Amino acid sequence: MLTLWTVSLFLLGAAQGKEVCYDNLGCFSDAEPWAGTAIRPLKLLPWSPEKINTRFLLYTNENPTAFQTLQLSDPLTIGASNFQVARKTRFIIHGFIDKGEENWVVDMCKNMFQVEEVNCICVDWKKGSQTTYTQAANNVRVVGAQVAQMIDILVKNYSYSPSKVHLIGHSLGAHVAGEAGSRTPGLGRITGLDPVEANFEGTPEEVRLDPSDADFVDVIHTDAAPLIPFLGFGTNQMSGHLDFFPNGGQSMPGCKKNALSQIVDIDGIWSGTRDFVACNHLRSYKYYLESILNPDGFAAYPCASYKDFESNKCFPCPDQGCPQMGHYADKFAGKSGDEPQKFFLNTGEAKNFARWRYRVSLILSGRMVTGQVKVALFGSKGNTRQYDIFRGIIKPGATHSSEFDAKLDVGTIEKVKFLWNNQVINPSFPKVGAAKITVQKGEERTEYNFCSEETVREDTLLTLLPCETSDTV
Amino acid sequence: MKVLVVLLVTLVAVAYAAPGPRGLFINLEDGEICVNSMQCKSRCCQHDTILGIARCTHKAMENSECSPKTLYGIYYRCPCERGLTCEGDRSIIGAITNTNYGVCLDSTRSKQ
Repeated sequence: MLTLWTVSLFLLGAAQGKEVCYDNLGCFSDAEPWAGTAIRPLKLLPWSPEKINTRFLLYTNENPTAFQTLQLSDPLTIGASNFQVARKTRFIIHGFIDKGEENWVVDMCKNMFQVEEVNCICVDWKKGSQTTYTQAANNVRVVGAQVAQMIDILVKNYSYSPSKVHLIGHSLGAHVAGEAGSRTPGLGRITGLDPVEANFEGTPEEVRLDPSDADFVDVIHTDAAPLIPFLGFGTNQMSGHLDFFPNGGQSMPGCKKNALSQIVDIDGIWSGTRDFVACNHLRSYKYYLESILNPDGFAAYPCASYKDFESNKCFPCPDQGCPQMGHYADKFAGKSGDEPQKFFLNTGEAKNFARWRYRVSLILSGRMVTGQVKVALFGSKGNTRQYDIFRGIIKPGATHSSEFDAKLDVGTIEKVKFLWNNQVINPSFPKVGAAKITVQKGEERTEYNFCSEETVREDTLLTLLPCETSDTV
Repeated sequence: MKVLVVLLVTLVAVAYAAPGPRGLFINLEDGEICVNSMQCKSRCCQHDTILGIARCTHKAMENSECSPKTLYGIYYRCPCERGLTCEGDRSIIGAITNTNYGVCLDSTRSKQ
C-alpha cells in the first residue's frame, strides 16, 4: 500500500514536469513540445528575465548613432524617447552568441534611416544567447514574450497598431520573432533571416517561426544544408508566406574560399573570423542589409527547385511579377496566397550582392569551330562584363541560350558585343559571328533583338546593333 | 575575448588549410588571397596598396579602369578582358611603379 502510493506520487510528479512563471510573461514548462521530444530531448527551463537582461535599444532618424534604452518596467521611457507613434517600428533580433550592439544590427538601422523614417529597436539578449545552445534555444521563449510585452505596451499606452510592427530576426532571433508574433494578434510582418534548424525544425508551429505568427512572414534561407554532416545551421523547412532560397539556399558564393582568405576579411579579422565559422549562415543578414538600399536588385523567381532555376526553366517573371528578397518583400502582389511559395535567385560573392538576371539567345554564323562564345551587354545605365553563353562546337545556324546575373541593371539595352575564343592555334584564322542575339530582362516580357552580318576572328569583339525593322517583318 | 577567439580560430584555420586539395596557392577563386596572377583562375591578382593584401579579381570590363599586363604579376588595376585593350598614357616611371592606368576599350571601336 505504501509502495503503491509512493509510486503513484512519483509518477504524478514526473508527468506534471516543472514549470516557471514570470510576471507579465506567463508560465513556461518543460513538457512537450518544448522538451522531452526527439527534436528537443533535454529538459531545460528558460532563464528568468532578470538573468537574460533583455534590452531594447532605440535608434531613430533623430538619433541614428546613440541609442536610447526602452524599459519594459517603465513605459515612460518610451514617451521620453524619440519614439514616434506615426512611424513604423522595426525590431532587429540577433541570434546565438550574438549581441544587440554588433555592427550588423546597428548597420541595419542606419541603412533604414537612408530610405525611410522609422523607429528601429535593436533587441539585445546577449546574456541569454551567449550560453549553451540548448539553454539559449529555451531562452528564446522568454525573450519572445518580452518583445510581445513591449509591443503590448505600445498598443495599450500609445494606441499603436501592431500592424505597423516588423520583427527581423536572425538565427535564433527568428524564432524569438516567431514567439513574439504568436503572442501578438495582428502583428504586421516578420522576417526570418536563416532561422536556425537545431531544436526547431520539425517542431509544432507554436515552437518555431511559421506563417501564422504574423500577417506576412518572409524567410531567407542561406544555410539550409543538413546540420549533420554539412554543419548547415539554418532550417530547410518552409517557414513563411514567402521563402527565399538565394543560390539554392545551402551554399553561398564566396563562402568556399580557403581558410586564410576567409578569415583575413576585407572588413577586418573579427568579421572574417565570424565568416570562417558560419559564412553561409551570416549571409542572410548581409543580403537583407543590402536589399534596403537596392529596391530592385534581389528579384526572386518562383520555381519548384534550384535545379530548375539553374536550368533556366523559371524565366522570366510570371504575370504577377517577382518579389524582391529582403526589405521590400512585402510589396509583392502575390504575397497573400494560401500556399507557401518558394523563390530562387542568385547573388554576388562579396559585398554588392545585388544581381540582375538576363537571358541571352543567339544564332551563330560564319565557320564551324570548337570554342566558347561570350556576350557583353551595353545599355543606358552602363555595360556588363563578358559572360559565357556557350562552350563546344560552334556551328553556323545553331541557336544557343543562357542566363546570367549581371552586377548592374544596364537599363535600356542599346547594343550587344559578341566574342569567341578557343585554346588552340587556328592556322586558317576562322571567322565566327552572331547573326542575331535576343536579350530579355528577368522582370520584363520585352525582348530586344540585335543583328549583324559580319563575322570576326578569335578574341575580336563584334558589335551588334538593334535589328532593322525590315528584318522583323 | 575576441582576441582569444581569433587566435583559436586562426589555429584551427591553419590546421584546416594545410591538407586542403586546392591549398592556398593555385587555382584560386575570386576573393582568395594571392601573390601572383598565375595563381588565380581569373588571371588577375589585385591589391589596393603596395602593402595591402592582394586577392584574385575578375579582369577589367570595357569602359573601366585597367593597367596593361606586366611581368610583376600583381596589379593595382586588373588588365582587360579579351578583345579589349588598355588605352592610356604610358611612362617609364609608371611601368616601374605599376601605375600605367588606362581604360579598357574595344580594339575594333574605330570601325563604328
